[in-house]
Amino acid sequence: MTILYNTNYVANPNAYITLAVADAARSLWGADRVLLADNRTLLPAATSGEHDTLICIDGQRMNRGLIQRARASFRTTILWLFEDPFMLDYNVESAELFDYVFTNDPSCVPAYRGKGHYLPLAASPRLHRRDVRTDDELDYDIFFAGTMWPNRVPVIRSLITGFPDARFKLVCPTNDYLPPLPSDLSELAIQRPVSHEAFIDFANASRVSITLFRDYPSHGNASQATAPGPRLYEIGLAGTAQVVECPEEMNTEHFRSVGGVVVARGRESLHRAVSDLLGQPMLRARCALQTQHAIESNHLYTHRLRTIAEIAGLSTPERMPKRTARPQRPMRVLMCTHSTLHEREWGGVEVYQQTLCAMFAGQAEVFFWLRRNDNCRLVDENGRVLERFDGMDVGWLDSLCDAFEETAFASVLGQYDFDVVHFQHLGHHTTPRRCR
Amino acid sequence: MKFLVCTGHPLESQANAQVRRSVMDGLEACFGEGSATAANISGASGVVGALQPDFVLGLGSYLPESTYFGEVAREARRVGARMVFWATEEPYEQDASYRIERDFDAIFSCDRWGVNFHRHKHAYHLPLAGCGVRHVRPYDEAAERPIDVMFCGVAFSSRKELIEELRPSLAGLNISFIGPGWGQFGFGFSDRRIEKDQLIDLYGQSKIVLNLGRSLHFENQRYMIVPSSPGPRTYEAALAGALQLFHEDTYEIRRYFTADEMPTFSNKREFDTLLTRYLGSPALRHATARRAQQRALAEHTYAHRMQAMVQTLKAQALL
Repeated sequence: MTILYNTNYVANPNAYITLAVADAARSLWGADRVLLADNRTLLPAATSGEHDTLICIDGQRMNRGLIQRARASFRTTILWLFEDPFMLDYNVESAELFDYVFTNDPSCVPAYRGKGHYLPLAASPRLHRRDVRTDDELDYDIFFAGTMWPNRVPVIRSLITGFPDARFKLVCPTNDYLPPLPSDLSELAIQRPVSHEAFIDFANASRVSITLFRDYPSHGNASQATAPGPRLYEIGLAGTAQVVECPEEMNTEHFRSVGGVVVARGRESLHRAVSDLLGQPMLRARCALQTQHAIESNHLYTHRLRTIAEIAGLSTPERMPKRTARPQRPMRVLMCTHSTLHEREWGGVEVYQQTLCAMFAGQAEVFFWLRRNDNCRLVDENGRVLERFDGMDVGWLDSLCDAFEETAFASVLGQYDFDVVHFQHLGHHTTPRRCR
Repeated sequence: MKFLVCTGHPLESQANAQVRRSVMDGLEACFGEGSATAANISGASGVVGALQPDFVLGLGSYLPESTYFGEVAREARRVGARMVFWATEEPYEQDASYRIERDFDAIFSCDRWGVNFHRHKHAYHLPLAGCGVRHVRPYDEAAERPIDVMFCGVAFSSRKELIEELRPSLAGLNISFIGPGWGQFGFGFSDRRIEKDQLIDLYGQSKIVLNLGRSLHFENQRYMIVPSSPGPRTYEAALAGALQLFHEDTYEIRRYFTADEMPTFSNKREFDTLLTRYLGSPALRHATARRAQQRALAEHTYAHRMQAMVQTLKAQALL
């Protein structure tokens, strides 16, 4: 079985891509052979022994500790990155945890030495497919939605002045790092993000949809991708004619397999392409249908997962037998406490621990879960540190829960297969609810 | 068929008590008088035992931690009743949806896009609606409508930004913006909170009612879901006979109303065009508002939603 896990687990406006990939995996391999995991469920699922493949997607907010602990349970571990080249340095560090790396940007392949493969994002029939509309069913002439990176502003303005009679649908959110929109644009644009559903609906209701690329660095020096992102494919499936303004740095080869998309280099050719499509309803319908067909034949997430399976040599995932038989070993007890005899400072409760441990006398292994300041540790009976997790000190006296400790605690519970968890003392801990 | 509708203060923050009454009316309209019973969530498990309902409906917000669904869920399971939740505050509190995932057999969400993010096997979209009794006013063409442009709702930042942009177009008109946060805008704007009945009456005194989306999220950090479904006022105002201009930040409105029932605008230029067109022609206003009212009466009352909910549950063999 395959586990799918998005590393970018919080504040992710592109979380829908996870749904799209999971949907594709289920349709390809069977709903009962794919498990969509999150930070809480990944380790317990991994240790069940039922899964042979781990596919991590996105790459942002990589929880290295979690992956390090989980990876031993899988035959194959795969990372599919979505944020190259903008996060290349970060991603290269993460890549060492995986057997295969797929990147959304072809220029980054060599950075992953041998393990790297180019794999663009794609579209999902469930989320993105809309029937192509007839001309009289259309509401808008020109549609563009996207963050107003500075390189995009003059392009959109030129369309506004170049097509004064066109009905525009513009969704142009800005952010705190970007200058406000010029008034001719703000007068025409919705300046808040819209739902992904609305984005696809608007494309579908428009004669021409414009695709522009971003020229703006976020983390490192790279400011431009060298291949198209998911929007090309998503809009393609939405049933609209699409004009792409292709920057010099991008190879037009990437658009060859997306039939019907008009690739424009420079302002003049962009205007000509838009004007042709607006003036010729038959041409527009043909382009929209051709693009939709091309996406359906080559650019769905099912196609991408097939590529992954081929390259990584994945056979059809099978449900492996759950490890049900208890291993022949003594009972394992985890004692959640604030200190042990092996710490430098201790008071009285540690004496009871010793007494309890002595009473088990070889019938049970006892481990300790400790929290001090910014770290959590799993310690064995002799005071040896087995696992250490470093995070932030949240002050245990005035916090009821702490995601860092909860996650770390969940991961040792998943990994060590304790039979009994004994809360002896909650000092220095936030409330560990996880063992429930 | 017998239904138990759970109520209770934490579930009924804001306007939900009225929604619950409308839902109960809707259930009785579909399934006969006496088919719906309401019980406070804290004592609902006892009622389940006595009433033996076919399904137990939770309604509204699942965010308050003080609401505990486990007890009534166990009792429902014991008597073979289905547990169904209609979440009317999504996606604004979607991070907390784990609170209803285990106890309920099916989840209905008021947001079409947000429903994709539920992990529950039975999660469906069910848009909000209006009340076929409380919100309806007979359309009166002769009625005086002294207010040119009217809006009622909290001044969320998205709405304030939009009104800043549209303000020059409103100059010289008789406007009435009502709701917490508007007072600072000056003449024609008020911080008042009004009762639903007053609002329905105000709709009848206005030539144009604006329909603007919401930007305030409570617990929606994980997937940052932007809503796609129009709010409940859309249906309420239509039933009351208002002519609405809908700010088109979602295309989903077209699933519920056509362009000649509910005109939309995306920017100031389009707003100006609509304003001139509709303020200039009472006949056009009357025709548009009547069409919207008829559509809402025919398709968008709570009775229709309850019917749809039961149909979905039957199709999924949950009833």
